[in-house]
Amino acid sequence: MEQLTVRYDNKIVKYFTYATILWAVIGMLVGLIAALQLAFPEFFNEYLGFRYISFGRIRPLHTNAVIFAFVGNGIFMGVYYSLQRLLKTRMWSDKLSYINFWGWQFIIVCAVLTLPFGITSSKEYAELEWWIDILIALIWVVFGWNMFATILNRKVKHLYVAIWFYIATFVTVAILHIFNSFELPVSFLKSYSWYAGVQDALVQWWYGHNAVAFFLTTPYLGLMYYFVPKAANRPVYSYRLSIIHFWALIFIYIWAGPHHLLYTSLPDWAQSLGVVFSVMLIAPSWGGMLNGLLTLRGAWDRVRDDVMLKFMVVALTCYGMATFEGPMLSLKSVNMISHFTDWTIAHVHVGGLGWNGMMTFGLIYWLVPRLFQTKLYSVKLANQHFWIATLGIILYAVPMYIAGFMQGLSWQYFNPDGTLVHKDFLEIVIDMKPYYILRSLGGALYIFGALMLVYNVVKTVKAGSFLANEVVQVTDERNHKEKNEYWHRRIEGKPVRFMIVSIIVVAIGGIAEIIPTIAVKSNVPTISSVKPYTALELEGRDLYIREGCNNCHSQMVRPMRFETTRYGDYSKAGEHVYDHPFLWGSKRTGPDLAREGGLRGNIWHYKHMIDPKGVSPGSIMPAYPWMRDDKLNTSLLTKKISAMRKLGVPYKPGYEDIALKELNKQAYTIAEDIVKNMPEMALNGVDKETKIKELQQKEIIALIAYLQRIGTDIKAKPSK
Amino acid sequence: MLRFIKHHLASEQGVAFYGLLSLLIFVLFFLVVLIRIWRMNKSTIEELSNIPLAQDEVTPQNEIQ
Repeated sequence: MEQLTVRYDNKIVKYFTYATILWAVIGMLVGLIAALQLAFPEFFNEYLGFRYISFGRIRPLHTNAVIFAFVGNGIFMGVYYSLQRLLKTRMWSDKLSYINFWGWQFIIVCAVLTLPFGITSSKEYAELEWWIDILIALIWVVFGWNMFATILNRKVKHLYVAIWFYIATFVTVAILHIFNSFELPVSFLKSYSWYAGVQDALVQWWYGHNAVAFFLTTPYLGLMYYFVPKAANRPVYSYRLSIIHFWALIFIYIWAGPHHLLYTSLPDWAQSLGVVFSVMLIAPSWGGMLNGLLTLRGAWDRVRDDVMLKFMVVALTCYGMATFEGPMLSLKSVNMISHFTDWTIAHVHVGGLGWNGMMTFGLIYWLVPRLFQTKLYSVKLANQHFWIATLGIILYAVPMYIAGFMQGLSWQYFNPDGTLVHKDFLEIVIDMKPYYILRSLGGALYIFGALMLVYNVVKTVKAGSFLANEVVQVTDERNHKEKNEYWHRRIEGKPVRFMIVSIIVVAIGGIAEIIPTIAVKSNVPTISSVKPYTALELEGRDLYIREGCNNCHSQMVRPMRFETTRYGDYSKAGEHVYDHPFLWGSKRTGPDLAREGGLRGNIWHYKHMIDPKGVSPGSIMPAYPWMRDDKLNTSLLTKKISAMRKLGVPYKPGYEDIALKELNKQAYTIAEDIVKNMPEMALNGVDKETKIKELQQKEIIALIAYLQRIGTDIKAKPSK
Repeated sequence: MLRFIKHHLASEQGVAFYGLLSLLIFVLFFLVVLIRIWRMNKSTIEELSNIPLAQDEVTPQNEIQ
């Protein structure tokens, strides 16, 4: 067998390590700001009421930053290190490696420069606008291309299990991202989702759930299969189990998306499929966790001394907890309590802070000394980081669990006379304050820990000398054939075939759920009284999206007594057929708005948007004074109507031409109502008519028009 | 292609067939994987699971930046 000299590229690993650390701190800080806004809304409204950091805008920035910037860079860091060593070859193309690196950072910067400005598609974890979506697809393909070429260029016979996870990650994320991002651009900064209502919801949560599965889980499982054995210096507990783990996990995971839509207007059969597969998911998830933990059998004493192993053990434990909780949350009876509450927030943070965060920290502590050929600056400091981070996770999760239970149960309480105990949603919100404060403290501790890592890494880097290219002698095993090759090699030894089999396995679930939902007409019974939004309402809806109202308000009344008593008639699939995108939301920090239309007067909304606390004492909603001051931008109106028509919304022929006139007419009616019936409205020396004309042009009027429309169609008599 | 599917999915009735078929595919697939794994050679398993632990021979010409 031939001996070769191979140079592993460490520089790209170093780059991704630095990016991981940088975005970890930034992404978590943004999360802390969002958390503090819920804990201390008065302070923020009074002193920091800037539109660019208002909750609805930075919550998506936080989720995008931690998922795609922090964990994303963490994935690349671990993959670029382990792939070269597992394949005994350098990355195929340095150029592609660095395009991957800089392209990914550019995308993150684009997210930072759009989301706080309200440029968003509103679809959770897919908020970025259309051209950034295209960029993501391109850079992701660059990563996959480089990875595949490296795999084809390998000097080893077998593809180790970690690499299967990397391949599945690449293909599935590509499929999910492309299908969920179908959108029709209206302008450079605005687009509408291709799908509407129920279909949009299903595609979104097929994506959303599997973004967790194939971005936060499978690549990290791959890293676990490489780095845990490496750190423990012993092989994985059961290689057989890892094969079962892999195939079962990727097959089952893709089906579970509908558990995000239980009791919604999604067809029942799709909900049930989601539940069944979610429960089944516990088997491969725990198989993987146990495989990781049992790798340490007989070496548990080393966990005491090796800080990296400590992080790994907590990461795996959190993974086990989150993947046990996930299937439980998918049970309809549990979901009825947990859905829309802070329980979900607790659940994702056990996964995010525990599994991804701790695993990444462990990897960084392991990698940096090796890249810089030195010892970690302070093991003691790393140990302190470990304890502070663990404490932070507990302090974050426990209050959120309590808050979640309280919300889920309080929403349901009835008096003996059949009225709701907490008729006012706000009562329950006000009770949450101590938990929101504790949660912020937990988050702050976790960030403090991350800053300790920064210090430790900086000191280690300064003390060491960087090994840019690790030169090793390897044996080219490719041409060495054995007599009885084992069966799995037939797929696993041929990466392209392996990729195709993976695609088929993950595609089955998506096809079985999505095609019927889109193709079967009876899934979405039409309601003849449901009509397209007027021009003003459409503009108002876009403002609702811009401000990220859907981050705190759902638009989905579930068919339960405690929901219909509080909000009104439950939501029907047919009500959302013109909703590009759907705005059902996933969290009720504030109340549901599906039946908001006509519930309160225009003046109430006007005052409430400018000063929520003044209207509802104790409210934690941010104020939106800029909507009162800023003129509504209608320059895209015609294009928006045309785009909606292309997507199948039946606007009458020629509506584009009269849209602006209609918009002004409707705006005038609302403005007139407010100016004439609101005695405290300051006229500032102008007569009422001038004031009306001035007010009708403001953004707030469009938003009110939309709010007054939501959920009213169904009450109207069908016109034939 | 889509027309073909639409034709067969004119109504919600029979849609459960999709779920059952998929479940069946999974169970069969899972069983096949299980049986094949059971019959795998022990030495192969050992070789595979030791892949990440293999130490490369580091040469003295390492390039330090």
